[in-house]
Amino acid sequence: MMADRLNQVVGQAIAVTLENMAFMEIAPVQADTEVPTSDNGMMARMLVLEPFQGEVQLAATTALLRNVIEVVHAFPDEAVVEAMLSDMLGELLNTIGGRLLTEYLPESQSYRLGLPEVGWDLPDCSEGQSRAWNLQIEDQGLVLTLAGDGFFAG
Amino acid sequence: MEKKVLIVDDSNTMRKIVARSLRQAGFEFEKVLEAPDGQAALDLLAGEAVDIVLSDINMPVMDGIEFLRQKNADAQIKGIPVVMITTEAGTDVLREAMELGAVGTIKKPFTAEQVQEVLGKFL
Repeated sequence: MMADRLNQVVGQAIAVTLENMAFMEIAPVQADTEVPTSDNGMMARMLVLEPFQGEVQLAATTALLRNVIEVVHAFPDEAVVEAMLSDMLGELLNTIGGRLLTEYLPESQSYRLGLPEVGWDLPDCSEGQSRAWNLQIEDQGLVLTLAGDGFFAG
Repeated sequence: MEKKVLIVDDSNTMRKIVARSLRQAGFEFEKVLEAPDGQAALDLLAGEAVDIVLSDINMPVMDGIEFLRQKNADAQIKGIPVVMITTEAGTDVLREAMELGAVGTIKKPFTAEQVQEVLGKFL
C-alpha cells in the first residue's frame, strides 16, 4: 500500500516537473532506452535533512539534459557546457525532490532539503533502504533513487 | 508595461524558466534582472529600482529568508513586493517567509497560468 503510494508520488513528481519545465512526457523504460552511466550521463544527489535523514538521487544522460536545455533556453546563445548540464540536473533534482516530499508527507509536515550536488560519479546511497525508478524521456534514460528508511516507513 | 522584475535563484536554468513563464503569462517587462542569491539581489537593488522580486528560498551565500530580513531592514527597498518561488510549499520556512512580508508563493514546478494568477495581483 505504502509502496503503491510512493510509486504514484514519484511518477507524478517526475511527470509534472518535466512537463512544466520542458513540455516533455515520461514513459516506462524500454529495452533500447539509453540508460545513464558515468560515461554518458551525470548524477546529482540532495540530502533530506528533516523530518528524516535521507537522500534523493537523480541520474540522466547528457543527451536528455541537452534536450531539456534546448527547450528551457530556447536555443541557448552559448554552447551547452558542463556548467549548464550540471545546473539543469541540479534544478530537476531540486524540483522533483521538493514536489515528491510535498505530496508524500502529511500536509502539515514540514521538511528541509540540502542543496543539490552534481557530478559524473556519486558515492553509494546513504545507509538504510533504497529504491530506484527507471524512466525514459524521448528514448533517454532517467533514474531516480530514494534512500533512507523514512521513505519506506509505515 | 514599463516595469522591472528581479529574479533571484541560484540556478541559471530556473531563472530562465521563470523569465520564460513571465513572457508566456503575458507580462512584458522593460527589464528582467537576475541575481544568483540574496546578497547579489540586495547589491542589485541598491542601484536599481525594481517593481517586483521573484525569489527562491534555498540558495547558497544568502537564502531567501535572510534576503527578506535584510530587505525589510532597508527603508529604501522595504516596500518592494517579493513573491517566493520554491519547492518548499507548506513548510515552516515558507510560513516564515510570509511572516517576513512575502506577498505570495509559487510552487515549483509551475505553469505560466500559475505565475499569471499570483503576479496578476501585483502587476
